Amino acid sequence: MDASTTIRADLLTLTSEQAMMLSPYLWVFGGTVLAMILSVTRAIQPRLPVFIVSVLTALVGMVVSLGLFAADRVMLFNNMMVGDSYANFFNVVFLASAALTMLASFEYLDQERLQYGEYYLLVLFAALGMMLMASALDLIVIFIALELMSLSVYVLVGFRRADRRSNEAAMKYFILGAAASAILLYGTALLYGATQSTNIRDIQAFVQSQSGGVSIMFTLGAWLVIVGFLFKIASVPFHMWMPDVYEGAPTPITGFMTTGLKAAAFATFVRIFISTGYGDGLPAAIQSHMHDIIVVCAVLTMVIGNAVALTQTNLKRMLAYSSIAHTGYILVGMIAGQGSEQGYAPVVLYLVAYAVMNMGAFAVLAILAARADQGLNLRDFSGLSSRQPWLAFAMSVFLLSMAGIPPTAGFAAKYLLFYSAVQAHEIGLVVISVLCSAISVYYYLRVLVHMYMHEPEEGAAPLRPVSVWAAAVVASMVVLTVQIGTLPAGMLAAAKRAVMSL
Amino acid sequence: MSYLPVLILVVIAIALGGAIQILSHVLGPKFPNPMKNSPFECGMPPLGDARHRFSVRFYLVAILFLLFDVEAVFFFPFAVTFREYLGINMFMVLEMAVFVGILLVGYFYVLRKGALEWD
Amino acid sequence: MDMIDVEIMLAKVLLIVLMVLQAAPIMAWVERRGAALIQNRLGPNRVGPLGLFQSIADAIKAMFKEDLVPAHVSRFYYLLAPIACLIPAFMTFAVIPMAAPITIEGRSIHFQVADLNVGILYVFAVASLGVFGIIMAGWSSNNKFSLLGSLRSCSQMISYELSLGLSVVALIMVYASVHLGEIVQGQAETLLQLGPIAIPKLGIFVQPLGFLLFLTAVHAETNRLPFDLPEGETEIVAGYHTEYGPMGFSLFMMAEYGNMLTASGLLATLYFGGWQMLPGFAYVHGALGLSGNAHILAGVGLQFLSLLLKVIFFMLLFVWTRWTLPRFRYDQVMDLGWKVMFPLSLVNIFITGALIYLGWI
Repeated sequence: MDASTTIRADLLTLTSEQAMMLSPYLWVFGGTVLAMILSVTRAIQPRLPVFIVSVLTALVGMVVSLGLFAADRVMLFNNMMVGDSYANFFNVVFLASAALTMLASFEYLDQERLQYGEYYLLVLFAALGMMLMASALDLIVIFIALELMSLSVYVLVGFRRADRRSNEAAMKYFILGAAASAILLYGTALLYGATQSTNIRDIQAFVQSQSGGVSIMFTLGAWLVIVGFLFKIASVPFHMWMPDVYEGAPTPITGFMTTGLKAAAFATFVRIFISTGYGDGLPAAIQSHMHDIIVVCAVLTMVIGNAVALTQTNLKRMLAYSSIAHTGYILVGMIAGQGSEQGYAPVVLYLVAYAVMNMGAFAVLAILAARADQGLNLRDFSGLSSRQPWLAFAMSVFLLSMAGIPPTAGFAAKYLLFYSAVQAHEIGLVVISVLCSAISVYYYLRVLVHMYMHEPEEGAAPLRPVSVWAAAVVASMVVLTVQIGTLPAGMLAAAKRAVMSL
Repeated sequence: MSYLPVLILVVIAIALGGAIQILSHVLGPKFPNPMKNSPFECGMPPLGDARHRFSVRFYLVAILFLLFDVEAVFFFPFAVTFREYLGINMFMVLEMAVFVGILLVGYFYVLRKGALEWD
Repeated sequence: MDMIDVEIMLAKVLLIVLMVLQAAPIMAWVERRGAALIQNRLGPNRVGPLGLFQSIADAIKAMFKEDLVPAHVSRFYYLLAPIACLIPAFMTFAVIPMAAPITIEGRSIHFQVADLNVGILYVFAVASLGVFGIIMAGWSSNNKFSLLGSLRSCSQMISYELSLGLSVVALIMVYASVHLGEIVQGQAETLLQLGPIAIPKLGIFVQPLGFLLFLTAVHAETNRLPFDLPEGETEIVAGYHTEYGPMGFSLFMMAEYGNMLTASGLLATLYFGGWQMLPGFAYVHGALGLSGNAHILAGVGLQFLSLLLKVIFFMLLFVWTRWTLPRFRYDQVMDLGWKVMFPLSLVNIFITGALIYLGWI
């Protein structure tokens, strides 16, 4: 019980490298706190300052992370966190998606009469949670970061307080999300019991040192942790919450969820996955065990996601199911990661490409949505090409990219992903994926058909004026989609570098 | 083992409370009367029962208490080892300053949002 | 652990039980006589000398009155509530040290019922359980006044628990321990030497602001005036004990006085040196001219007496406060707790930290 034996002087310092590596987190946190104070000051009208401070926080944080991308790996806080290229790569993705979400939301919130400072604060806190998640090496830290992210997003989903669907979505998401967090925590407890550590590197080292296989407790714990993450990425059979939540949430938040949240969940999932069951040097028994679980999930996710998306007429709902389908493709990449020469780089690249095209698509939807997020059904898109040619064009680019048609980001990412699966000798999976991908073309193209080949509906609601911010988001995403699609080498190299640092 | 006396005290408290209630139940006379069975409302006939919704402020206070009490609990280990850490360097103090800063910002926010106003 | 250890332990448990049980009747008398004194009237003076047996008469009367469990209450929780209030009242006093640990014939004896290393944290943990009894009572009574009273009480108690905890944090920083015995021992050190007079490092001297905060918070925690809104007679009849019969009410009173006893014990222990002898007692101890075990035991007796006197002082302070100050309005209570006490207790921590850093305390 003597306190002096527990003090470790090495934890009572912060080297300059560590301080550097922490700077994006501290910056984002400081900016959030500043925005929080601004949002409750009475001296000024908080509407614009909070928005500007929040966006600047995210953008500058992004630039700082970008600057740290090439830095060497630094362990932080007694190995509970790590600052490596992988973490910084994802920090850029999260902060970019947060910044773009806020830009796309400003006008939207004005029109929905929801212009509260808390919106931006919660987006920033969610982004901070994602950043911590992607750089955490300790299951407890991961859990806390996950909760920081999830709790913020629960509130954001229910942000349209007067809307029944929004409330319902928030409630469903909250209850199911809490259950998933509990499962994750329970798995953590079991892993701790089996390996005496919550640090995923220690867990990996422990498993590697076990010659006689692992205990049932370990397998069960790894199972539960992975189930918790399968829930967060909305893989079948844990996808039930997703369509309702995507439909009920404010449209920009849906975009944020498909990009930031999904990327964060996958980024962490990859870290955990390779150390508690699928990484190098782990016993073959666990590897094949995990392999089988993920294969089943991936196939189910692709088939069900695509099949159900075929019948949707609401665009938000359709994109939700398509998001489930894309989760399936990424899971294929996760399975292939260990056996191919690219490793997990295609997964990372796919996440980025997916984030880019979804961000753009949901920004378009946010512009087009009538009051209370009505008017996002297929027939509302009829003849959009004549009413809003540029928006229709942008939407086509995003949808073609999702369908995986060259020369878009979706094509490049999908190609590399399936190629790595072929290298890993997962031919069956690749066949199923390609077939599913072919099916998906139908429902993406259907929207294009409506936009370009149908006449506008009689009495269609007049469109909102397109805000500058949202237009900038859409335009930059179009450029990025085409850029990654035509010249994927640069992004792939960055993704590889990030994955190498794992 | 050092908690054994505590357990004995709990048992005594339960036994005592139970015994007193039973005794008074046995010893006291019984004069049943329908009026005695209605809730006391200053002699007026009761209007409905007490299963009503009450002010959400109470709930808010409970939530804020949870938040701030969890933060206050973090102070205890810090307080015990404060002198010892002070002997090494100021890092611990700085960390605590950040922590208190977060607490104060949260407090300021809650205060300005009017969560502590009773009208 | 042999038989003698067990016997010592049981003796200590018995002492606590007797103290808590006696607190209610004695304090009821003190309170009524004190009120009379302050309000310039007589108070109970018929039963026994100075009306001393009034409480006993009241107890007998309460016992033989009709014990009614109204039909509209939730029976189980209604009957459980007084017991739930009583348990923490009994439990909390257990960790307060009543004298310095001694060693007689190779057997070391601690003068606290439970020598827990978590000390003060245990007190907070257990004391906050008292809220459950009150909530149970208010809810199960199915009476609007009871419900309101219990809600008020609950939110008041949790609001002041914050300042209570934070004011103690500063004290813990000074003595670097949560163990009450060590805190008392730490108060024997010399803070300042003024010529021949050595001023001990008592909590009150190093933590004057903390003491005031603690005193106020403790009044709120025990639901005593000026914080007795849960039972504000003029507004909500009798709060959460509106629907209780004589003995249920007596049990609540017993719990309240038990809590008061613990609060006084804590005030004495944390801020007034606990069992550290009052000035002059050390001289008496020496002048007795005893030796050996008798000398040690006499020391224990004097230490216990010192603690007892301090506790009695604070009990009287509670009574004094009750009959001097008027009751707050509810919004004032909450404002005081959240907007004054909470920031002040943080400020107190800052000041304490700075003083420790400067090496002044």
